[in-house]
Amino acid sequence: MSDFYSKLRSIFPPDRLYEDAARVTPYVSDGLTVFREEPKAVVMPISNEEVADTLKLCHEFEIPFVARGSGTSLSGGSLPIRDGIVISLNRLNQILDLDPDNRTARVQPGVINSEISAAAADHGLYFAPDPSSQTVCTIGGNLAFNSGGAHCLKYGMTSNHILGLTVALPDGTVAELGNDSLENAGPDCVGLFVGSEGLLGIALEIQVRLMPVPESFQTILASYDSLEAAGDAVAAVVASGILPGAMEIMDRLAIEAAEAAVSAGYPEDAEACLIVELDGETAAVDADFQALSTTMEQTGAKEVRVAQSTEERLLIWKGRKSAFSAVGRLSPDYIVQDGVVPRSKLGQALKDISRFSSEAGLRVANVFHAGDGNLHPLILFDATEADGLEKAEALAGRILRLCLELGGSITGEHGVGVEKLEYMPDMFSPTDLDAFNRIRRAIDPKEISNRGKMLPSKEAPALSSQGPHPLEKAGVISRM
Amino acid sequence: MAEQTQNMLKPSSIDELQSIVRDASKVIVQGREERLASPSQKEILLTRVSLSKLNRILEYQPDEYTITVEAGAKVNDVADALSEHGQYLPFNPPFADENLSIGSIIARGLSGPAACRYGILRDFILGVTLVDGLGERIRTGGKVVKNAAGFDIPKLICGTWGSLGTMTEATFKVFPIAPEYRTLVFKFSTFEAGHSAYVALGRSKFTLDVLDLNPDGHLFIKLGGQPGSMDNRVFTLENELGLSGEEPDEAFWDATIALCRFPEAGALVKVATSPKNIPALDIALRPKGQSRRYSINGYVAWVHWHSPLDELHNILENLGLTGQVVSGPEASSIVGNQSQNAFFNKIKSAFDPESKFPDLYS
Repeated sequence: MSDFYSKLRSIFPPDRLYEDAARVTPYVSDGLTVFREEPKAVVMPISNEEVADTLKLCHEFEIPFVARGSGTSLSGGSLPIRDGIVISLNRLNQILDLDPDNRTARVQPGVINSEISAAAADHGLYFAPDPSSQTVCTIGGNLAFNSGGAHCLKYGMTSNHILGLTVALPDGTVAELGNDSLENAGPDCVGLFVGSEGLLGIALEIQVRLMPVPESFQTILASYDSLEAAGDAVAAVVASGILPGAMEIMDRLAIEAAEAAVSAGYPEDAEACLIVELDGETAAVDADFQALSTTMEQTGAKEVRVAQSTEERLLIWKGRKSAFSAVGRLSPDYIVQDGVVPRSKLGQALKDISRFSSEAGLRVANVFHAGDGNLHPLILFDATEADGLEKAEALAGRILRLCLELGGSITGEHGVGVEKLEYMPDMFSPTDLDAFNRIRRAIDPKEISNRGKMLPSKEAPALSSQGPHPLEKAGVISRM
Repeated sequence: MAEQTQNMLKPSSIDELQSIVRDASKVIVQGREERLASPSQKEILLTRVSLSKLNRILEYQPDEYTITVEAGAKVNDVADALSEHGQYLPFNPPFADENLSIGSIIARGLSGPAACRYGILRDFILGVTLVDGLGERIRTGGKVVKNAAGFDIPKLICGTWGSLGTMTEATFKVFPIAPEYRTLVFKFSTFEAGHSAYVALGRSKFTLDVLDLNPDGHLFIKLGGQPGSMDNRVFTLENELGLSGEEPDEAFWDATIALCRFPEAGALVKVATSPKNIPALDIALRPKGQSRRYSINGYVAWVHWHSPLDELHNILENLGLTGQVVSGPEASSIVGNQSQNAFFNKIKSAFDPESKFPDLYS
């Protein structure tokens, strides 16, 4: 084993290879701080060759590794692996090429999500996936976990915006997948790689699709006396044949938290708020807005506000995107879940979550992408209580199983990571999981690439309650 | 026991299909009654399977924007069921006159011109069930519009021509049909002028359902939206282009490839392109005088090829492009750049360790 580390030292100078506890400690967890594991080493490559050489070494010595960007995963996806190393990709953070005519950009994995849109803005383009942590999370992490955001119903998830990849496979082989086209000729290997949670290797260069910035937006904030009424309004919008860019719902607890945090101007007497946003060509948006207004008038809203300026629109979204971190004001600890239910089952799901919450004696704030049926229940608890975390985890598990019973999924955009491993057998049969394992072993026979994530195995991570991620406490990232 | 007609087994259940695959040495599944076998397969060992009896719409919930169908269901039947509720498959499955099955569309990886608006097949396939080379039934993805659990097999399987296994069911995301559409042709005088407008429109504020270009420099455009908005949008578009749009006529189709049926002879090849590399491709193809059409906002070139396929392979390889034969005797062949070959073959070995299904890459 000492051979491994001596060879690692031949690849990386001391300032890019951390082996002492003081310098590896910041890497012991990601956004899901209840899980912690100390890596043996952290390396910081600055070239594709260094990544590939590291993987060749890991393959030779069977050392497990996890690639990591900003560490904002909410499923423990970038949790270090016992006796393994962390490959920090933050210094691979260049936008290598931006081609406005092709509407693509080629970026390294450590590029921050929002920096792509910032770079493309001068050309009237943007990168559509918009996870709430987009100002700090990296595109490499977005790719690994197929991150979502508020606009997935119309624009899809990260996977729908990745066209081509240069990847380092777990044995250090470098492969080209896809191309710079939206279309494929042959199998969609990029589609398989995206969302594979790091099990198939590391993306070194990523060709992303850029989209024209919509010419016009209309953003509506409607308040309701009940969550059910807000849910019915979503159904009415869907039935009307209008396709909004986003439909989001927040419940009273989440509204209170967001108001306390950013004063977004949400009606604090409402039991639920619904945000509906239209985007596109001005003439088309104006016409859709007339139709939407007619629909919304019939949904029994207490109040309907329309953003009158870009500032008002951005404030509505600031409140929504801050909701998760803002919940930290209501409780010393909380965990967030990420289940999906069929949209028509939203009402039933919320009713059952409310009942589960009462039975567990724990408060739950609800924020969700209503257009997608993607729930984000925030379970508030106090980790200083003896069974605080266990009760919260039990409630979270009950909610995920409810999502499956209703025909949904255990994750809409956070990924399985380590957090939802135990629920994979509830969603997939042993045959399905065996197929996943065969795919994984075909690419990584030694199972060293992010071992212990996504696919249930005998390895279990250490569990300890450590409260919010430091970036969450600072309000920089949020759980969404 | 599966029904057998003319050396074709027609299972009526997934269990029957699993038995067939387990018992067979080599399997080829046909969504329609035509030869799809790759040249490497020896006819004598071949078990031919049709999914024509697995043709039901299993679940359609308009309020969910999702539909689940069996692989043998005809695309046209699915489209009819959706249109009754004002919805459609946004990836616009082409070749309607061929009466293809859903399985065939997925296996061939086909999207039509109107995929320009919201995305191609891979963007709308949410879940698949398939029988792999071990005869195992594998269900991946989900039936909800958002899901990040497990490997994304539904995307992978698009364009694999049955090389990983036999798909039996698929779930799609669907969208509402716009209340009104307008179709227009803008006749630029040269290919270069048309291409320049094509690129500019692709990165513009206009949200177009179709944006296609033919070698004459003519742009074919379709817009969808609320009735009250269409005149204004067309007016703005014409102002932007400095041309008046015309209703498409037969002359337009004569100069391009109509994507409603497969050509009777030759190979129809789908080439993955980007807007900027289209001129180089067009210049390379011109001497051959073969029909071509640039579609989906510049991301696809359709090429009707009559010469030996090797010649097209060399052209595409020189340009760093990849194409796949969609119809004709060499259907499923991948030409040009084959950088995914090694990676895909490893994946195939996981699905089909005994190589019962056709190879995709040689």
